[in-house]
Amino acid sequence: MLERLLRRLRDAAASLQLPEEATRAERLRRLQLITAAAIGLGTLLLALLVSIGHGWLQHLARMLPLSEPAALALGIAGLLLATHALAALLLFRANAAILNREHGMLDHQLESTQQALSASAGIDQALQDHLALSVRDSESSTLTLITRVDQLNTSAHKLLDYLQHSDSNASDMATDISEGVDEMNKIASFVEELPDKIRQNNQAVENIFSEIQHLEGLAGSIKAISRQTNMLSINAAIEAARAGEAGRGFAVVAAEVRSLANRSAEAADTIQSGLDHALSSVKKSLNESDLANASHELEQANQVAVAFERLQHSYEDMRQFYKTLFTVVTRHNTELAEQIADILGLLQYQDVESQRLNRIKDALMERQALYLAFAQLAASDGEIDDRLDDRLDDRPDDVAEEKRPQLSQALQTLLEQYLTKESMHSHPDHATEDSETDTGPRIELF
Amino acid sequence: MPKTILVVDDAATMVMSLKASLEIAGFKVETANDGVQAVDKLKSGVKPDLIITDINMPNMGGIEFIGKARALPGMRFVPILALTTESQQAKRDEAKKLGATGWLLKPTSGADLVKVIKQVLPGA
Repeated sequence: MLERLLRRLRDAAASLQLPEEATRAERLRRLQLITAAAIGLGTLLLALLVSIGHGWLQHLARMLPLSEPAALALGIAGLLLATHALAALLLFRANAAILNREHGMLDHQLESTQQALSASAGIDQALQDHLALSVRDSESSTLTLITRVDQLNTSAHKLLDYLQHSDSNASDMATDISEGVDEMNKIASFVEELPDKIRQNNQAVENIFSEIQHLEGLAGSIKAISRQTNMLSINAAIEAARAGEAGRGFAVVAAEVRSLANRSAEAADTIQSGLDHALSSVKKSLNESDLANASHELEQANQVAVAFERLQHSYEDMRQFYKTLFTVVTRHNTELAEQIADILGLLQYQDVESQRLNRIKDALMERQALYLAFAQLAASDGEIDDRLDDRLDDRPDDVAEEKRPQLSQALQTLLEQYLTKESMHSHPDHATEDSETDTGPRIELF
Repeated sequence: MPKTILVVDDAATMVMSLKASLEIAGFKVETANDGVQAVDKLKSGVKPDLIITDINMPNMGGIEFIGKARALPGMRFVPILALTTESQQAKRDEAKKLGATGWLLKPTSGADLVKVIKQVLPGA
Protein backbone atom coordinates (compact mmCIF):
# COMPACT_ATOMS: atom_id res chain seq x y z
CA MET A 1 0.00 0.00 0.00
CA LEU A 2 2.83 2.34 0.94
CA GLU A 3 4.52 1.44 -2.30
CA ARG A 4 1.40 2.38 -4.24
CA LEU A 5 1.17 5.69 -2.34
CA LEU A 6 4.77 6.54 -3.18
CA ARG A 7 4.21 5.73 -6.86
CA ARG A 8 1.21 8.03 -6.92
CA LEU A 9 3.21 10.76 -5.27
CA ARG A 10 5.94 10.32 -7.93
CA ASP A 11 3.32 10.52 -10.67
CA ALA A 12 1.87 13.65 -9.10
CA ALA A 13 5.35 15.17 -8.84
CA ALA A 14 6.03 14.24 -12.44
CA SER A 15 2.80 15.95 -13.47
CA LEU A 16 4.11 19.07 -11.83
CA GLN A 17 7.27 19.05 -13.99
CA LEU A 18 7.43 22.07 -16.28
CA PRO A 19 8.85 22.18 -19.75
CA GLU A 20 12.24 23.84 -20.26
CA GLU A 21 10.70 26.88 -21.89
CA ALA A 22 8.41 27.66 -18.87
CA THR A 23 8.65 31.21 -17.55
CA ARG A 24 9.85 32.17 -14.13
CA ALA A 25 6.33 33.21 -13.05
CA GLU A 26 4.96 29.82 -14.03
CA ARG A 27 7.70 28.07 -12.12
CA LEU A 28 7.09 30.19 -9.01
CA ARG A 29 3.34 29.52 -9.22
CA ARG A 30 4.02 25.78 -9.38
CA LEU A 31 6.42 26.08 -6.44
CA GLN A 32 3.75 27.84 -4.39
CA LEU A 33 1.29 25.04 -5.19
CA ILE A 34 3.83 22.41 -4.22
CA THR A 35 4.59 24.32 -0.99
CA ALA A 36 0.89 24.55 -0.10
CA ALA A 37 0.43 20.86 -0.87
CA ALA A 38 3.48 19.94 1.19
CA ILE A 39 2.21 21.98 4.16
CA GLY A 40 -1.24 20.39 3.91
CA LEU A 41 0.31 16.94 3.65
CA GLY A 42 2.59 17.70 6.59
CA THR A 43 -0.39 18.80 8.70
CA LEU A 44 -2.26 15.58 7.92
CA LEU A 45 0.86 13.56 8.65
CA LEU A 46 1.22 15.42 11.97
CA ALA A 47 -2.38 14.70 12.93
CA LEU A 48 -1.88 11.05 11.97
CA LEU A 49 1.33 10.75 13.96
CA VAL A 50 -0.25 12.42 17.01
CA SER A 51 -3.19 10.04 16.75
CA ILE A 52 -0.93 6.97 16.30
CA GLY A 53 1.68 8.07 18.84
CA HIS A 54 -0.76 9.11 21.60
CA GLY A 55 0.00 5.95 23.67
CA TRP A 56 3.74 6.38 23.19
CA LEU A 57 3.44 10.01 24.39
CA GLN A 58 1.55 8.92 27.52
CA HIS A 59 4.31 6.37 28.13
CA LEU A 60 6.93 9.04 27.61
CA ALA A 61 5.10 11.37 30.06
CA ARG A 62 5.14 8.71 32.69
CA MET A 63 8.81 8.06 32.21
CA LEU A 64 9.77 11.73 32.24
CA PRO A 65 8.80 14.03 35.07
CA LEU A 66 6.31 15.78 32.78
CA SER A 67 2.59 16.13 32.76
CA GLU A 68 0.78 14.43 29.94
CA PRO A 69 -0.28 17.70 28.17
CA ALA A 70 3.26 18.98 28.30
CA ALA A 71 4.56 15.77 26.82
CA LEU A 72 1.85 16.01 24.15
CA ALA A 73 2.77 19.61 23.36
CA LEU A 74 6.44 18.71 23.28
CA GLY A 75 5.75 15.86 20.90
CA ILE A 76 3.60 18.01 18.63
CA ALA A 77 6.21 20.78 18.65
CA GLY A 78 8.94 18.30 17.83
CA LEU A 79 6.95 16.84 15.01
CA LEU A 80 6.06 20.32 13.70
CA LEU A 81 9.70 21.31 13.83
CA ALA A 82 10.72 18.19 11.98
CA THR A 83 8.01 18.49 9.29
CA HIS A 84 8.67 22.21 8.75
CA ALA A 85 12.41 21.68 8.60
CA LEU A 86 11.81 19.00 6.05
CA ALA A 87 9.42 21.25 4.07
CA ALA A 88 11.91 24.16 4.23
CA LEU A 89 14.68 21.89 3.02
CA LEU A 90 12.54 20.68 0.15
CA LEU A 91 11.50 24.25 -0.77
CA PHE A 92 15.06 25.52 -0.60
CA ARG A 93 16.29 22.74 -2.86
CA ALA A 94 13.41 23.24 -5.30
CA ASN A 95 13.95 27.01 -5.38
CA ALA A 96 17.67 26.58 -5.85
CA ALA A 97 17.05 24.24 -8.74
CA ILE A 98 14.69 26.75 -10.34
CA LEU A 99 17.16 29.62 -9.85
CA ASN A 100 20.01 27.55 -11.23
CA ARG A 101 17.99 26.70 -14.28
CA GLU A 102 16.99 30.34 -14.75
CA HIS A 103 20.54 31.49 -14.31
CA GLY A 104 21.65 29.03 -16.93
CA MET A 105 18.98 30.25 -19.28
CA LEU A 106 19.92 33.86 -18.67
CA ASP A 107 23.56 33.07 -19.30
CA HIS A 108 22.58 31.36 -22.50
CA GLN A 109 20.40 34.31 -23.53
CA LEU A 110 23.14 36.77 -22.73
CA GLU A 111 25.60 34.76 -24.73
CA SER A 112 23.15 34.56 -27.64
CA THR A 113 22.44 38.28 -27.41
CA GLN A 114 26.13 39.07 -27.35
CA GLN A 115 26.71 36.86 -30.37
CA ALA A 116 23.71 38.41 -32.17
CA LEU A 117 24.92 41.94 -31.43
CA SER A 118 28.46 41.09 -32.55
CA ALA A 119 27.07 39.51 -35.72
CA SER A 120 24.87 42.58 -36.36
CA ALA A 121 27.87 44.83 -35.82
CA GLY A 122 29.76 42.70 -38.35
CA ILE A 123 26.87 43.02 -40.83
CA ASP A 124 26.83 46.79 -40.30
CA GLN A 125 30.56 46.94 -40.93
CA ALA A 126 30.16 44.92 -44.14
CA LEU A 127 27.28 47.18 -45.22
CA GLN A 128 29.39 50.28 -44.55
CA ASP A 129 32.27 48.83 -46.56
CA HIS A 130 30.00 47.99 -49.47
CA LEU A 131 28.29 51.36 -49.35
CA ALA A 132 31.68 53.07 -49.46
CA LEU A 133 32.63 50.82 -52.38
CA SER A 134 29.36 51.66 -54.17
CA VAL A 135 29.97 55.38 -53.69
CA ARG A 136 33.50 55.03 -55.08
CA ASP A 137 32.31 52.90 -58.02
CA SER A 138 29.48 55.25 -58.89
CA GLU A 139 31.84 58.23 -58.65
CA SER A 140 34.35 56.51 -60.91
CA SER A 141 31.64 55.54 -63.42
CA THR A 142 30.19 59.04 -63.38
CA LEU A 143 33.60 60.59 -64.00
CA THR A 144 34.10 58.24 -66.97
CA LEU A 145 30.64 59.14 -68.22
CA ILE A 146 31.37 62.85 -67.94
CA THR A 147 34.63 62.37 -69.87
CA ARG A 148 32.82 60.43 -72.61
CA VAL A 149 30.02 62.99 -72.82
CA ASP A 150 32.59 65.75 -73.04
CA GLN A 151 34.37 63.87 -75.83
CA LEU A 152 31.02 63.47 -77.60
CA ASN A 153 30.50 67.20 -77.40
CA THR A 154 34.01 67.82 -78.72
CA SER A 155 33.37 65.41 -81.62
CA ALA A 156 30.10 67.15 -82.44
CA HIS A 157 31.89 70.50 -82.51
CA LYS A 158 34.63 69.04 -84.70
CA LEU A 159 32.00 67.79 -87.14
CA LEU A 160 30.47 71.26 -87.24
CA ASP A 161 33.89 72.84 -87.78
CA TYR A 162 34.57 70.34 -90.57
CA LEU A 163 31.28 71.21 -92.24
CA GLN A 164 31.99 74.92 -91.92
CA HIS A 165 35.41 74.33 -93.48
CA SER A 166 33.81 72.27 -96.28
CA ASP A 167 31.30 75.03 -96.88
CA SER A 168 34.13 77.52 -97.18
CA ASN A 169 35.98 75.23 -99.61
CA ALA A 170 32.80 74.75 -101.62
CA SER A 171 32.44 78.53 -101.92
CA ASP A 172 35.99 78.78 -103.29
CA MET A 173 35.25 75.95 -105.70
CA ALA A 174 32.09 77.75 -106.83
CA THR A 175 34.14 80.77 -107.85
CA ASP A 176 36.60 78.55 -109.78
CA ILE A 177 33.80 76.68 -111.54
CA SER A 178 31.99 79.88 -112.41
CA GLU A 179 35.16 81.38 -113.89
CA GLY A 180 35.80 78.14 -115.81
CA VAL A 181 32.28 78.16 -117.22
CA ASP A 182 32.70 81.77 -118.38
CA GLU A 183 35.95 80.90 -120.12
CA MET A 184 34.39 77.86 -121.74
CA ASN A 185 31.43 79.92 -122.91
CA LYS A 186 33.82 82.36 -124.52
CA ILE A 187 35.65 79.49 -126.24
CA ALA A 188 32.37 77.94 -127.33
CA SER A 189 31.24 81.26 -128.74
CA PHE A 190 34.53 81.61 -130.61
CA VAL A 191 34.31 78.04 -131.97
CA GLU A 192 30.70 78.65 -132.97
CA GLU A 193 31.75 81.65 -135.03
CA LEU A 194 34.73 79.82 -136.52
CA PRO A 195 32.94 78.22 -139.59
CA ASP A 196 31.66 81.62 -140.70
CA LYS A 197 35.12 83.04 -140.33
CA ILE A 198 36.58 80.12 -142.33
CA ARG A 199 33.95 80.63 -145.02
CA GLN A 200 34.74 84.32 -145.15
CA ASN A 201 38.45 83.52 -145.37
CA ASN A 202 37.83 81.00 -148.17
CA GLN A 203 35.77 83.54 -150.06
CA ALA A 204 38.56 86.10 -149.71
CA VAL A 205 41.09 83.55 -150.96
CA GLU A 206 38.83 82.64 -153.89
CA ASN A 207 38.56 86.34 -154.71
CA ILE A 208 42.35 86.57 -154.59
CA PHE A 209 42.50 83.47 -156.83
CA SER A 210 40.16 85.15 -159.29
CA GLU A 211 42.19 88.33 -159.15
CA ILE A 212 45.40 86.38 -159.73
CA GLN A 213 43.84 84.60 -162.69
CA HIS A 214 42.83 87.98 -163.97
CA LEU A 215 46.41 89.13 -163.48
CA GLU A 216 47.61 86.11 -165.47
CA GLY A 217 45.56 87.46 -168.42
CA LEU A 218 47.28 90.83 -168.03
CA ALA A 219 50.66 89.07 -168.12
CA GLY A 220 49.63 87.44 -171.43
CA SER A 221 48.58 90.85 -172.77
CA ILE A 222 51.95 92.30 -171.75
CA LYS A 223 53.69 89.45 -173.54
CA ALA A 224 51.56 90.01 -176.67
CA ILE A 225 52.30 93.76 -176.51
CA SER A 226 56.00 93.03 -176.13
CA ARG A 227 55.89 90.70 -179.17
CA GLN A 228 54.10 93.32 -181.24
CA THR A 229 56.54 95.96 -179.96
CA ASN A 230 59.41 93.65 -180.92
CA MET A 231 57.92 93.20 -184.42
CA LEU A 232 57.39 96.96 -184.60
CA SER A 233 61.02 97.59 -183.58
CA ILE A 234 62.28 95.17 -186.25
CA ASN A 235 60.18 96.89 -188.91
CA ALA A 236 61.43 100.24 -187.66
CA ALA A 237 65.04 99.02 -187.92
CA ILE A 238 64.40 97.85 -191.46
CA GLU A 239 62.88 101.18 -192.41
CA ALA A 240 65.77 103.00 -190.71
CA ALA A 241 68.34 101.02 -192.72
CA ARG A 242 66.41 101.85 -195.94
CA ALA A 243 66.46 105.53 -195.10
CA GLY A 244 70.26 105.46 -194.79
CA GLU A 245 72.07 108.21 -192.89
CA ALA A 246 68.81 109.92 -192.15
CA GLY A 247 67.42 106.91 -190.46
CA ARG A 248 70.48 106.22 -188.24
CA GLY A 249 68.99 107.89 -185.15
CA PHE A 250 65.71 106.18 -185.78
CA ALA A 251 67.61 102.83 -185.92
CA VAL A 252 68.96 103.52 -182.39
CA VAL A 253 65.43 104.16 -181.13
CA ALA A 254 64.24 101.00 -182.82
CA ALA A 255 67.02 99.03 -181.07
CA GLU A 256 66.05 100.46 -177.68
CA VAL A 257 62.39 99.73 -178.34
CA ARG A 258 63.35 96.18 -179.23
CA SER A 259 65.42 95.86 -176.06
CA LEU A 260 62.45 97.21 -174.07
CA ALA A 261 60.13 94.71 -175.74
CA ASN A 262 62.46 91.88 -174.78
CA ARG A 263 62.65 93.05 -171.13
CA SER A 264 58.85 93.39 -171.10
CA ALA A 265 58.56 89.81 -172.33
CA GLU A 266 60.97 88.67 -169.58
CA ALA A 267 59.01 90.63 -166.96
CA ALA A 268 55.78 89.11 -168.23
CA ASP A 269 57.33 85.61 -167.88
CA THR A 270 58.45 86.43 -164.34
CA ILE A 271 54.94 87.69 -163.45
CA GLN A 272 53.43 84.60 -165.03
CA SER A 273 55.71 82.33 -163.01
CA GLY A 274 54.97 84.24 -159.73
CA LEU A 275 51.23 84.15 -160.38
CA ASP A 276 51.34 80.41 -161.10
CA HIS A 277 53.13 79.88 -157.81
CA ALA A 278 50.61 82.07 -155.95
CA LEU A 279 47.70 80.20 -157.53
CA SER A 280 49.24 76.90 -156.53
CA SER A 281 49.58 78.14 -152.88
CA VAL A 282 46.00 79.47 -152.78
CA LYS A 283 44.67 76.18 -154.16
CA LYS A 284 46.59 74.31 -151.55
CA SER A 285 45.25 76.61 -148.81
CA LEU A 286 41.70 76.14 -150.02
CA ASN A 287 42.14 72.38 -150.03
CA GLU A 288 43.45 72.43 -146.42
CA SER A 289 40.54 74.56 -145.11
CA ASP A 290 38.38 71.59 -144.28
CA LEU A 291 35.01 72.69 -142.98
CA ALA A 292 34.11 69.15 -141.85
CA ASN A 293 36.99 69.17 -139.41
CA ALA A 294 35.93 72.58 -138.19
CA SER A 295 32.41 71.28 -137.59
CA HIS A 296 33.76 68.35 -135.57
CA GLU A 297 35.84 70.67 -133.43
CA LEU A 298 32.81 72.88 -133.02
CA GLU A 299 30.74 69.94 -131.84
CA GLN A 300 33.43 68.90 -129.36
CA ALA A 301 33.68 72.45 -128.05
CA ASN A 302 29.92 72.54 -127.63
CA GLN A 303 30.02 69.26 -125.75
CA VAL A 304 32.67 70.63 -123.44
CA ALA A 305 30.53 73.70 -122.84
CA VAL A 306 27.49 71.52 -122.12
CA ALA A 307 29.58 69.39 -119.76
CA PHE A 308 30.68 72.55 -117.97
CA GLU A 309 27.09 73.69 -117.64
CA ARG A 310 26.16 70.30 -116.22
CA LEU A 311 29.08 70.58 -113.84
CA GLN A 312 27.84 73.99 -112.78
CA HIS A 313 24.34 72.64 -112.21
CA SER A 314 25.76 69.68 -110.28
CA TYR A 315 27.78 72.06 -108.23
CA GLU A 316 24.69 74.17 -107.49
CA ASP A 317 22.88 70.98 -106.40
CA MET A 318 25.84 69.97 -104.26
CA ARG A 319 26.03 73.43 -102.76
CA GLN A 320 22.35 73.35 -101.94
CA PHE A 321 22.80 69.91 -100.42
CA TYR A 322 25.70 71.21 -98.37
CA LYS A 323 23.63 74.14 -97.16
CA THR A 324 20.79 71.84 -96.15
CA LEU A 325 23.23 69.40 -94.53
CA PHE A 326 24.94 72.22 -92.70
CA THR A 327 21.62 73.58 -91.44
CA VAL A 328 20.43 70.14 -90.33
CA VAL A 329 23.72 69.24 -88.67
CA THR A 330 23.86 72.63 -86.95
CA ARG A 331 20.34 72.13 -85.61
CA HIS A 332 21.13 68.59 -84.47
CA ASN A 333 24.38 69.79 -82.98
CA THR A 334 22.55 72.45 -81.00
CA GLU A 335 20.05 69.85 -79.77
CA LEU A 336 22.93 67.50 -78.98
CA ALA A 337 24.65 70.23 -76.97
CA GLU A 338 21.42 70.86 -75.04
CA GLN A 339 20.99 67.14 -74.39
CA ILE A 340 24.62 66.84 -73.31
CA ALA A 341 24.10 69.77 -70.93
CA ASP A 342 21.01 67.99 -69.57
CA ILE A 343 22.94 64.74 -69.14
CA LEU A 344 25.67 66.61 -67.30
CA GLY A 345 23.02 68.19 -65.08
CA LEU A 346 21.50 64.79 -64.38
CA LEU A 347 24.92 63.51 -63.32
CA GLN A 348 24.53 65.71 -60.22
CA TYR A 349 22.28 62.88 -59.01
CA GLN A 350 25.46 60.91 -58.36
CA ASP A 351 26.61 63.53 -55.85
CA VAL A 352 23.17 63.71 -54.22
CA GLU A 353 22.96 59.91 -53.98
CA SER A 354 26.56 59.69 -52.84
CA GLN A 355 25.83 62.08 -49.96
CA ARG A 356 22.69 60.12 -49.10
CA LEU A 357 24.66 56.85 -49.04
CA ASN A 358 27.27 58.50 -46.83
CA ARG A 359 24.56 59.53 -44.38
CA ILE A 360 23.30 55.92 -44.37
CA LYS A 361 26.88 54.77 -43.80
CA ASP A 362 27.22 57.15 -40.85
CA ALA A 363 23.98 55.84 -39.36
CA LEU A 364 25.21 52.27 -39.80
CA MET A 365 28.46 53.22 -38.09
CA GLU A 366 26.52 54.63 -35.16
CA ARG A 367 24.38 51.49 -35.00
CA GLN A 368 27.47 49.30 -35.16
CA ALA A 369 28.99 51.21 -32.24
CA LEU A 370 25.74 50.73 -30.30
CA TYR A 371 25.70 47.00 -31.05
CA LEU A 372 29.30 46.61 -29.96
CA ALA A 373 28.70 48.59 -26.76
CA PHE A 374 25.64 46.50 -25.87
CA ALA A 375 27.47 43.29 -26.77
CA GLN A 376 30.23 44.32 -24.36
CA LEU A 377 27.59 45.09 -21.76
CA ALA A 378 26.05 41.68 -22.27
CA ALA A 379 29.46 40.02 -21.97
CA SER A 380 30.44 41.80 -18.79
CA ASP A 381 26.89 41.91 -17.42
CA GLY A 382 28.01 45.07 -15.72
CA GLU A 383 27.38 48.72 -15.81
CA ILE A 384 27.28 50.65 -19.06
CA ASP A 385 30.73 51.77 -19.99
CA ASP A 386 31.64 55.41 -20.35
CA ARG A 387 31.68 55.20 -24.13
CA LEU A 388 28.07 54.16 -24.21
CA ASP A 389 27.17 56.86 -21.72
CA ASP A 390 28.83 59.44 -23.93
CA ARG A 391 27.04 58.10 -26.98
CA LEU A 392 23.71 58.34 -25.30
CA ASP A 393 24.21 61.78 -23.75
CA ASP A 394 22.07 63.43 -26.41
CA ARG A 395 19.11 61.17 -25.79
CA PRO A 396 15.83 62.59 -24.57
CA ASP A 397 15.78 63.19 -20.83
CA ASP A 398 13.38 60.37 -20.04
CA VAL A 399 15.72 57.91 -21.74
CA ALA A 400 19.01 59.39 -20.53
CA GLU A 401 17.84 59.23 -16.92
CA GLU A 402 17.67 55.49 -17.01
CA LYS A 403 20.66 53.77 -15.55
CA ARG A 404 20.44 50.87 -18.01
CA PRO A 405 19.17 52.13 -21.36
CA GLN A 406 17.48 49.61 -23.58
CA LEU A 407 18.91 48.82 -27.01
CA SER A 408 15.53 49.42 -28.62
CA GLN A 409 15.42 52.94 -27.14
CA ALA A 410 18.95 53.67 -28.34
CA LEU A 411 18.07 52.44 -31.83
CA GLN A 412 14.88 54.51 -31.86
CA THR A 413 16.91 57.62 -30.97
CA LEU A 414 19.39 56.78 -33.70
CA LEU A 415 16.55 56.42 -36.21
CA GLU A 416 15.10 59.79 -35.23
CA GLN A 417 18.50 61.45 -35.57
CA TYR A 418 19.00 59.88 -39.00
CA LEU A 419 15.55 60.92 -40.25
CA THR A 420 16.04 64.47 -38.97
CA LYS A 421 19.39 64.73 -40.75
CA GLU A 422 17.92 63.24 -43.93
CA SER A 423 15.03 65.72 -43.95
CA MET A 424 17.56 68.58 -44.09
CA HIS A 425 18.77 67.55 -47.54
CA SER A 426 17.20 67.70 -50.99
CA HIS A 427 16.08 64.58 -52.80
CA PRO A 428 16.25 63.96 -56.54
CA ASP A 429 12.61 62.81 -56.63
CA HIS A 430 11.53 66.44 -56.43
CA ALA A 431 14.07 67.78 -58.90
CA THR A 432 12.00 70.35 -60.79
CA GLU A 433 12.56 74.04 -60.83
CA ASP A 434 9.14 74.98 -59.49
CA SER A 435 8.93 72.35 -56.79
CA GLU A 436 9.59 73.19 -53.16
CA THR A 437 11.11 71.21 -50.34
CA ASP A 438 9.77 71.32 -46.81
CA THR A 439 12.17 74.14 -46.05
CA GLY A 440 12.04 76.24 -49.23
CA PRO A 441 12.08 76.41 -53.03
CA ARG A 442 14.58 74.46 -55.11
CA ILE A 443 15.82 77.68 -56.74
CA GLU A 444 15.77 80.88 -54.72
CA LEU A 445 17.35 84.21 -55.62
CA PHE A 446 17.86 86.52 -52.65
CA MET B 1 35.30 87.62 -74.23
CA PRO B 2 33.64 84.73 -72.36
CA LYS B 3 32.55 85.26 -68.76
CA THR B 4 34.53 83.35 -66.12
CA ILE B 5 32.79 81.21 -63.51
CA LEU B 6 34.52 79.77 -60.43
CA VAL B 7 33.08 76.36 -59.42
CA VAL B 8 33.77 75.25 -55.83
CA ASP B 9 32.81 71.69 -54.85
CA ASP B 10 34.55 68.80 -53.10
CA ALA B 11 32.86 66.19 -55.32
CA ALA B 12 34.93 65.54 -58.46
CA THR B 13 31.77 64.51 -60.35
CA MET B 14 30.13 67.86 -59.60
CA VAL B 15 33.21 69.85 -60.59
CA MET B 16 33.63 67.97 -63.87
CA SER B 17 29.95 67.94 -64.84
CA LEU B 18 29.50 71.64 -64.03
CA LYS B 19 32.70 72.53 -65.89
CA ALA B 20 31.64 70.64 -69.02
CA SER B 21 28.07 71.94 -68.83
CA LEU B 22 29.13 75.58 -68.40
CA GLU B 23 31.78 75.35 -71.11
CA ILE B 24 29.15 74.10 -73.55
CA ALA B 25 27.12 77.17 -72.61
CA GLY B 26 30.12 79.32 -73.57
CA PHE B 27 31.63 80.16 -70.19
CA LYS B 28 35.24 79.90 -69.08
CA VAL B 29 35.44 77.79 -65.92
CA GLU B 30 37.89 77.82 -63.00
CA THR B 31 37.60 75.13 -60.30
CA ALA B 32 38.43 74.62 -56.62
CA ASN B 33 37.82 71.63 -54.33
CA ASP B 34 37.00 73.54 -51.14
CA GLY B 35 36.71 77.00 -49.64
CA VAL B 36 40.41 77.26 -48.83
CA GLN B 37 41.46 76.52 -52.41
CA ALA B 38 38.84 78.93 -53.72
CA VAL B 39 40.03 81.79 -51.48
CA ASP B 40 43.62 81.08 -52.57
CA LYS B 41 42.56 81.29 -56.22
CA LEU B 42 40.79 84.59 -55.65
CA LYS B 43 43.84 85.96 -53.86
CA SER B 44 46.17 84.72 -56.62
CA GLY B 45 44.46 86.92 -59.19
CA VAL B 46 41.58 84.85 -60.57
CA LYS B 47 38.74 87.32 -61.16
CA PRO B 48 35.54 85.38 -61.76
CA ASP B 49 32.37 87.05 -63.01
CA LEU B 50 30.31 84.59 -60.94
CA ILE B 51 30.91 81.92 -58.27
CA ILE B 52 29.01 78.65 -57.79
CA THR B 53 29.79 76.98 -54.48
CA ASP B 54 28.78 73.86 -52.56
CA ILE B 55 27.94 74.30 -48.86
CA ASN B 56 29.11 71.12 -47.13
CA MET B 57 32.82 70.82 -47.88
CA PRO B 58 35.93 69.81 -45.90
CA ASN B 59 38.52 72.36 -44.70
CA MET B 60 36.27 75.36 -45.38
CA GLY B 61 32.54 75.07 -46.03
CA GLY B 62 30.51 77.18 -48.44
CA ILE B 63 28.99 79.50 -45.83
CA GLU B 64 32.39 80.49 -44.45
CA PHE B 65 33.77 80.82 -47.99
CA ILE B 66 31.00 83.22 -49.00
CA GLY B 67 31.86 85.46 -46.04
CA LYS B 68 35.59 85.38 -46.80
CA ALA B 69 35.10 85.91 -50.54
CA ARG B 70 32.90 88.97 -49.97
CA ALA B 71 35.62 90.52 -47.81
CA LEU B 72 38.19 90.30 -50.63
CA PRO B 73 38.80 93.40 -52.76
CA GLY B 74 36.75 93.54 -55.95
CA MET B 75 34.43 90.73 -54.82
CA ARG B 76 31.69 92.81 -53.26
CA PHE B 77 29.29 92.66 -56.20
CA VAL B 78 30.28 89.36 -57.83
CA PRO B 79 27.21 87.06 -57.79
CA ILE B 80 27.66 83.96 -55.60
CA LEU B 81 25.26 81.04 -56.02
CA ALA B 82 25.09 78.16 -53.54
CA LEU B 83 24.48 74.78 -55.21
CA THR B 84 23.91 72.18 -52.50
CA THR B 85 21.76 69.35 -51.15
CA GLU B 86 21.35 71.34 -47.93
CA SER B 87 17.78 72.57 -47.64
CA GLN B 88 17.64 74.07 -44.12
CA GLN B 89 16.13 77.54 -44.01
CA ALA B 90 18.59 78.52 -41.26
CA LYS B 91 21.54 77.89 -43.57
CA ARG B 92 19.86 79.73 -46.43
CA ASP B 93 19.36 82.72 -44.14
CA GLU B 94 22.96 82.58 -42.97
CA ALA B 95 24.26 82.45 -46.55
CA LYS B 96 21.99 85.34 -47.53
CA LYS B 97 23.24 87.37 -44.59
CA LEU B 98 26.85 86.77 -45.62
CA GLY B 99 26.16 87.94 -49.19
CA ALA B 100 25.03 84.93 -51.25
CA THR B 101 23.04 85.85 -54.35
CA GLY B 102 20.96 82.69 -54.62
CA TRP B 103 20.37 79.16 -53.37
CA LEU B 104 19.98 76.18 -55.70
CA LEU B 105 19.27 72.63 -54.61
CA LYS B 106 21.08 69.74 -56.28
CA PRO B 107 20.35 68.41 -58.77
CA THR B 108 19.70 71.46 -60.95
CA SER B 109 19.48 70.88 -64.71
CA GLY B 110 21.97 72.55 -67.04
CA ALA B 111 19.20 74.64 -68.63
CA ASP B 112 17.92 75.87 -65.24
CA LEU B 113 21.43 76.67 -64.09
CA VAL B 114 22.21 78.70 -67.23
CA LYS B 115 18.85 80.47 -66.87
CA VAL B 116 19.69 81.51 -63.30
CA ILE B 117 23.22 82.55 -64.33
CA LYS B 118 21.80 84.81 -67.05
CA GLN B 119 19.44 86.33 -64.51
CA VAL B 120 22.19 87.27 -62.07
CA LEU B 121 24.97 87.94 -64.61
CA PRO B 122 23.93 90.61 -67.13
CA GLY B 123 25.49 90.11 -70.56
CA ALA B 124 26.16 86.43 -70.04
